[in-house]
Amino acid sequence: MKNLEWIDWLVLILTLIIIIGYGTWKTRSNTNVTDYLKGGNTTKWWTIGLSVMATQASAITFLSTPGQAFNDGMGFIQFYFGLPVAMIIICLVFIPLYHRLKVYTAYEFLEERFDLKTRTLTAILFLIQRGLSAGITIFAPAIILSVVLGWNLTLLNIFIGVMVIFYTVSGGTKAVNVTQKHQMIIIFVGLLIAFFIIVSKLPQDLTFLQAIDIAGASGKMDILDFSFDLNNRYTVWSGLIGGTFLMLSYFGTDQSQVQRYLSGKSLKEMQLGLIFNGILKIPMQFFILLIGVMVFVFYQFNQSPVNFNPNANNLVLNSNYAHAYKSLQANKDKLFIEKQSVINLYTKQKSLGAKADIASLNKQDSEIRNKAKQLIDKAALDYDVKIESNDKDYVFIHFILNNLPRGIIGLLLAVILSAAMSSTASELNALGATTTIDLYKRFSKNKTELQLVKASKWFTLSWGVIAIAVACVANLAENLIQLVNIIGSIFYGNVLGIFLLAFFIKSIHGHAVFIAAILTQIMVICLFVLDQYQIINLPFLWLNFVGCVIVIFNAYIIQFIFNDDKKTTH
Amino acid sequence: MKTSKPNQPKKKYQWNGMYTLVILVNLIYIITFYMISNYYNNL
Repeated sequence: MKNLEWIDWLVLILTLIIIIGYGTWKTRSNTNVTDYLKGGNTTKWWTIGLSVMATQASAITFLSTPGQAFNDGMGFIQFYFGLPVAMIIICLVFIPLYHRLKVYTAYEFLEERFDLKTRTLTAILFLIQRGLSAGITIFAPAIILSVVLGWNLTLLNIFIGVMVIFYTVSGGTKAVNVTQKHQMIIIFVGLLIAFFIIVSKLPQDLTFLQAIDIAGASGKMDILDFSFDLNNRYTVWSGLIGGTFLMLSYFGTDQSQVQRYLSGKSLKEMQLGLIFNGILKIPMQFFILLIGVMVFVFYQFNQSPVNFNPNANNLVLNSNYAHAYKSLQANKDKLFIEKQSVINLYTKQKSLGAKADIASLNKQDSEIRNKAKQLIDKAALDYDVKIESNDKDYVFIHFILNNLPRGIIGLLLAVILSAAMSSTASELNALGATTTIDLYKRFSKNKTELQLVKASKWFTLSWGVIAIAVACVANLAENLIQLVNIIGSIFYGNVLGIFLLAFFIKSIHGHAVFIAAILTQIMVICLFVLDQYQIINLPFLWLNFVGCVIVIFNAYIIQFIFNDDKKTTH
Repeated sequence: MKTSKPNQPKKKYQWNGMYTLVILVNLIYIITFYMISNYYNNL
C-alpha cells in the first residue's frame, strides 16, 4: 500500500477543484430546457469532439488498457476499427434527422417514426443499461485506487459520485461539456508525461526503437489478427463488423453520446465533432496501448511482482499456499536474471536465436504468472473471499505509484479521477434528460420551462444517487472494462436494430417493432446465458450484431404474420 | 458562368470531403499496423 505525499495531494486536489470549480461557475445560470439539456446549442466542434472522447474514455480505459497491452500486446486496438465507419454513418444519416426534428433525446425521434410505446420502451432499455453502467464507471477506478492506496472504497465511490452530481446538476450539459474539455486536456498532458518518464527510465544505452524491438520479440507488436476464430475476442473482423455495430449503437443511439453532439451550434459543428473523434480515436488508443507496451519493456529491466494486485498477494501469502507462491516469485526472479543476458544479446545482434529465447523466457514468465493466479483463486476459495486474480487493471497503477516522481503521481491520479468523472457526468446528464423528456414531460402535460429544468435537476440527482448505490454493491468481475462492454452488448444490438428499422425500412410500423424488440431482448439475454454456460460459443462482442439482425428479422416476420399495414405513426 | 439548377432534387445523404478524409486517414493507420505486425513477425 502506498501513501501519497503532500505534493501529490496538492496537485490532485488543485487539479480537480480548478476544473470542477471553473465548469460550475462558468455555467451557473440555466433558465430553460434548451440551455440545461442542450447547452443552449452553442457548443463548438472541438468541444464536441473532446466531449465525445471524454465520455467514451472512462477511468477503466486508462487503468485497464495499458494492462491489456502489458499482457496481450497491441491487438486490442482492433476493437476500435469500426469506430470511423460508425462516425461517417452517424454524420450522414443520424445527425441530419436529429437536427431537423430538433429533438432533445434520440428516443424522441422514434415516436415521430413509430409510436409512443416504441419510444418509451427504447428509453427504458437505455435507462436500465446506462443506470447500471454509471455505477460501474464509478466503481471500477474506485476499487483499484482503494486497493493500492488503502482508501475506503465506499467513501471513494461516494466522493466521485458527489463531485459529479455537484457540477452536472448545477450546470447541466454545458457544465459537462466545459469540464470534459479541460479534463481531456489534463488526461492528454498526464499521459504524455507518463510516456516520456517511462521511456527515460529505460536503460541509457537502449533506444526507443530497440525497446519496441524487445516488445516485438515478445509478440506484443502483433497488432492485427486476420483469423476467423470466434475464440479470439479481438480480430480485424470482430473489430470491423462487431465494432461498427457496437460503435454505431453507442454513438448513434446512446443518449450519453447523442446529447454531446446535439448541443452543437449547427449541423456542421455536430458533424465535425464526430469527424474529430473518427480521426483521433485510433491514435489515442494506440498511444495508451503503447504506454502499456513500454511498461512491459520497463519490467524487462526491472523486477516485478508475480501478481500486481496487492490484495491478492497479501491473501495468498497468509494462506497455505504461501510457500508455493514464494517459490513462484523466486522462479520469476531467476528468469529475470536470465532474461537480461538474452535481451542484451538481442539488442546487439538481433539474432533469430536470441529472439526465440526472449519469446520462450516470456512464455515461461506468463506460465509462472498464470500459476500464481491459480494459487490466488484457490486461496480465495479457501477463505471464501472474492479477489481479482487477473491483475491487468493493477499493472499501470502499480507502475505509477512505484516509479513516477512525486507530484506526477498526484497528476496521474487526477487523470484517472477526471476520466471517471467525465464519463459519469455524461451518463447522469443523459439519464436525467431521458427521464425528463421521454417520460416526465411526455406523460405529464402543461409543464413550464422552469418546472422542466427543476425536474431535470432532480432526476439527474436521483440517477447520481442510484449510480453511487450500484457502485457500492458492485461485485468483482474478471475484467472491469469487459463488464461495461458486456452490459452494453446485451442491449445495444436491439436498440440499434430499432433505429436502423426507423431510418432505412419505411415499410415496418410501430406495432411490429415493439413486439420484435421485446422478443429480441429476451432472445439476446438467453444467448448470453447459453454462452456463459458454454452451451454455445458466442463472444459478447457479437451480441450487438446478433441482436440487431434478430430485431430486424423479428419485425419483418411479425409485420408479415399480423399483416400490420396500418400506419401507426402519428 | 455557372448556371444554377433550382429544380434538381436535394440528395438524401450529403457526402462530404471530410468523410473521405476519415476513411483515408484510418486506412493509413491500418496499413501502418499491418506493416508493423509484419515487420516484427519476420524479424
